[in-house]
Amino acid sequence: MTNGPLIVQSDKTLLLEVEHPDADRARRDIAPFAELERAPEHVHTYRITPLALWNARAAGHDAEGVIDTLMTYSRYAVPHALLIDIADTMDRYGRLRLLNHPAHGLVLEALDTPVLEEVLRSKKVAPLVGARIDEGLVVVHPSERGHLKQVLLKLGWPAEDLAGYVDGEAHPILLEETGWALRDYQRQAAESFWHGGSGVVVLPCGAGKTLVGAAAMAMAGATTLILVTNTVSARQWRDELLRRTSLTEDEIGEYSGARKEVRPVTIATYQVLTTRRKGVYSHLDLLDARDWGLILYDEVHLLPAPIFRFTADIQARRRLGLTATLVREDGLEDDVFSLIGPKRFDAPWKEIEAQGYIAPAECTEVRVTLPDGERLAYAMAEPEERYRLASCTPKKARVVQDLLRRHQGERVLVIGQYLDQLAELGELLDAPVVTGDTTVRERQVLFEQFRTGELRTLVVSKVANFSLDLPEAGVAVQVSGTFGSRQEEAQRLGRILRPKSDGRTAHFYTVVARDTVDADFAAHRQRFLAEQGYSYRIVDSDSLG
Amino acid sequence: MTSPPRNRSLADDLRRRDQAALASLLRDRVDLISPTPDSISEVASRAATTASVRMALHRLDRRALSVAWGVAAAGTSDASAVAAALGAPGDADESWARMIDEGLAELYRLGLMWRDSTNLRPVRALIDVVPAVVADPRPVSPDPLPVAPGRSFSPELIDRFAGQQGLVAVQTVRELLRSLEAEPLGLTREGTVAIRELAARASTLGLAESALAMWLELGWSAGLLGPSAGGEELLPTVAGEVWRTAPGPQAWPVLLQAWWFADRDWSAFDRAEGVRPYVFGIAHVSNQLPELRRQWVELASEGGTAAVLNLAELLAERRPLADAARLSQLASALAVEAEMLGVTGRGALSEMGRALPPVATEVDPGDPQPELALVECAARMVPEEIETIVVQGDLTIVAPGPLAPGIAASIGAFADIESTGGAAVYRLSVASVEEALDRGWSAEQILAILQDHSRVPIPQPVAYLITDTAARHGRIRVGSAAGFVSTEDAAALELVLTALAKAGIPATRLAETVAVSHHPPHQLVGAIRAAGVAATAHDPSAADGLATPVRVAPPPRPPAPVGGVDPARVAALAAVLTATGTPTEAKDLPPAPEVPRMHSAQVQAALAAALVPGRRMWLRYADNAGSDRSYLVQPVHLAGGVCEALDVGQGRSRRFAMSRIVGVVQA
Repeated sequence: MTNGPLIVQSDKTLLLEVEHPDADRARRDIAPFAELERAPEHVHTYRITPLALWNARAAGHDAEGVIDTLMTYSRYAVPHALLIDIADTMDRYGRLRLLNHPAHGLVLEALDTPVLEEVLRSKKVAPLVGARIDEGLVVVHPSERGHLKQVLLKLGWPAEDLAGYVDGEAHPILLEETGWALRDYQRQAAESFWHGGSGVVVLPCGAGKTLVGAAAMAMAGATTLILVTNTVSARQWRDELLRRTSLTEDEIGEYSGARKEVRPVTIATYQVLTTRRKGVYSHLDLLDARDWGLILYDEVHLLPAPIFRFTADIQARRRLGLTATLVREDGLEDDVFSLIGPKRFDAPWKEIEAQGYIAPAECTEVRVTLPDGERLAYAMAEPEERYRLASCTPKKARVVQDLLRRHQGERVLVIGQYLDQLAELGELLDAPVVTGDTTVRERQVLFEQFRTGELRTLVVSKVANFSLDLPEAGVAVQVSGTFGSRQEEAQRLGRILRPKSDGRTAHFYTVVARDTVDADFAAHRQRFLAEQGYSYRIVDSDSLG
Repeated sequence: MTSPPRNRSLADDLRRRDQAALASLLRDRVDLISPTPDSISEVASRAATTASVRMALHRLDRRALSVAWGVAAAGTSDASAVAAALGAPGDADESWARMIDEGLAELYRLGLMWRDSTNLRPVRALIDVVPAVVADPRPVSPDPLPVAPGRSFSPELIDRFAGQQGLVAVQTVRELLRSLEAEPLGLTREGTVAIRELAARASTLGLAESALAMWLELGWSAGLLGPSAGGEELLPTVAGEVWRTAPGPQAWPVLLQAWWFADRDWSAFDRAEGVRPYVFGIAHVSNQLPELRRQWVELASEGGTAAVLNLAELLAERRPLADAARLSQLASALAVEAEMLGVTGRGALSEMGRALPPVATEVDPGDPQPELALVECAARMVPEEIETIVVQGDLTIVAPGPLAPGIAASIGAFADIESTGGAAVYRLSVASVEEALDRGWSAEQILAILQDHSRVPIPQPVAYLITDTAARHGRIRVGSAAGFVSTEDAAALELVLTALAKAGIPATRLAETVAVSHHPPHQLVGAIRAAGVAATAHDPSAADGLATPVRVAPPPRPPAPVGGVDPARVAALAAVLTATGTPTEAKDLPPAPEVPRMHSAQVQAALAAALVPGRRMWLRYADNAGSDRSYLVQPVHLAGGVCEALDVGQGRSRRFAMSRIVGVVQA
């Protein structure tokens, strides 16, 4: 019996013991076909999903290799059913292919006639295809290329898209590698994408995804539409492109809530594209505003559902997705695969580790007990009022004061959701309050003061923390606020709490009211933090002292 | 050398066969022993009927069936005539001769032919039935279909796979029992499991419905689980509780034995078409399955260290008259089951698969004792169970290997299992810890288990969760009671409690003026009134608040899964039948001893112990007139309140009602 680092479970999860001497090798070898699901201290969990297997197939791995890898590292016998399942699943990818036929245009070709029979019988496929040319060939309406891929994936027969792409409007873009050079893995990532045609590159935060994008743009040498999560990110992209490529300010446009510029390289936010006026997406024309040669999707795991719908219509354009993880909260991984493309590159784990999935900060949850009067009020409140009641308990203010005392001399951010609570805290702590109503100029002044240390405590609302990049903050205290996406949460946390230059530990406190919905949300968050490898503690407010 | 005695009939021939040959015949033609025949003549006359012959033909493989057809067509057992009838080429080779020889031997073994002095003769019905049953008699080839082996693996690898899988099977059933204990599965009035209940439990346990159906029914026939006294719920049995804590190598064979005799097709739960099966129902019962399973394993063993790829075809060759599509369905279902139970590893028969007894005694429900040989074999294959765990900050507990049952049960008491396989992942939550606290665990005990077994320090949030949950536990208590007593007057309640205590009805005072009891209202009212205090039964749902007592009859006990043919019974019957037909004169019988009167349980036990071929007992039996008589008997089978036995004096088998047997003693 071998003594490998990996245990293969019958539910298709893989448990990896991180302290095992072979753990790193195993991690590298399973990465192509298994998604990291959680990474707490000692045992990491990966999951083998059909998509992960198809991604592996698209990257040129075969079932035999996957099975060999499992057998090599597995401590116990791998469940037979799982092995069969892996082989069967992988075998399904590429039995159907989308091709450009010299005479018939876009066609669906089957290497296996019964498979074609099966899918053509589906009611969902029928309206997307045209005439049957012969046993294994059927015409596809060019406008349905994306939709067909989605449907075929749902039927369990993902098609390989070899139908090619339009070149788009040429626009030379050069990388200016002076004083810096593209790292090897960045170059590999860009090349893998280019050879694959379309697809997703998975790189951890800070591993230089923007540069991979820039390299891909240089390869395409064509007009490019870049879709990003928010305005801050749009500006970062713009700055980085100006610094690293031959592009000038005139060639880069920003298409956001604030500005509507369409230039050879246009950076648009997801938000503006999904804005609806009278039920109509009013900015969709952007997608056809130019003959784009490349469309870049930043943070694919956050891509909103409507964008997928638009993406289905532009399957003839090259698409590059950039992300740190393929795992989505909403389960739309299928659409990423069908519409953006398979995973083309995955960073070696060492990079991720260096990036600090390993806890850079100490997270603490402080529990306050509601006084009897408030408990009664809470119990009798309407469900939608409860969260607010629990979040805004005056007892939290005392805790914040205690924490400030404990971290005297450090720069502290107090984050909350409810404005009256924040105003009260601002008054109590004698600190300025930044909310959505604060003007950009005012914000910038306050942030600058915080950076220089002139200001030691800042109270900010959730709205404000969208544009938050304050690595100087050594302590963050969250008094209220739910988190939308847990992924986003971890990234934001990491951004606020960068390891300090002097090696001090950063601290993240969440103050929650025990026995309330507030605590329930906290439990959810804790689990996620722990799964990401952050260590955290729970203390009672009484024991803070 | 004397010439063999001339048989004039099948009955004569059968009478001259030895016990083993007769048992072999009866085992494969079970219609002959149901109802139990009282003599060889009766066996022979049943065997000669067209219905029975027709059934027997279903037992023949392709080659023997061809020979049967050849015999019927040629009207003789002469080898060359049969060969000619089958259209063998003129220069027919060795293989034709072998096929015909073997075929004739099989037809003889099954009593479809008999031997006069020199010749084999078909029974009349054979000649009539074969042409009607067999459409195309001509063999494609006189040779048996060769085995098509798949990829070969080392025996170590196969056994590693199988042993692992065996342990996973054990863990699955352990977890199933745990779940039944925590929350019994409801049974319908018919004693089956409702579709929705099955689906819900399957999803809770993370099993396919067909798999859960299989484990439930195997658990039942192994005596690990069964219905509650009222029959409305499914619970682990005492034996199940014991089994749960047994180490893997002892627990695994119990499941295997249950599977070995099972007669259910669980793949029916996966099929959309056909009758919807219910767990513990009968829609998926197929009495051919135990036999098919044996054939399947026998054929699988021919693959050696490789899986046999053409098992369905090979089975079809064995059973040419069966529905080939159905057979292929069953063959793939068996392949899945065999892999799940570790009978095979990567498709090839494991050492355990080979160790399955070719002929075994029936497993006694309620006493799941596996055969020693299987346990020894299992011990060599099952990976070692560990007692170490890893406790992590995300509130998971990972056992990086198969967990020993004791510690697994402990952890399962306060954490929910999330993933199974080679290892196990448990998740702690407020709910899971509360559940443990409800069952009497303390925070200290839970922490002690974790500390004693964890390889790493316990993360603070884990310790916090446990102590915090414990600190809040029990603030609000909820319980059940069958009845309550409420009054405006505390002193009156005092009086009532005294009265109830005297009547032997325990009641607990919850508050000044309220007490509860596990006894229903009508009993409480009775007891209180008996003490001279006025009391009224109160039913808040009734219009006037006064109750009308309703009595509910318990639903019938669900039918137990049907077992296969008990080989021991066949052997005993063969022994008895070879002795029938020769009545012993009363004067030749040994003198009847004094048989003492016994309790019915003692009678049952004594007879059960005597179910050994050849053992004779004296029965004291109350006859119709009510007076006792002694019989010298040789017991064959105990079932349904009846003891089948050879009545030595009469020289025939007969059925004795258990209720009338008043005593037994060994002869």
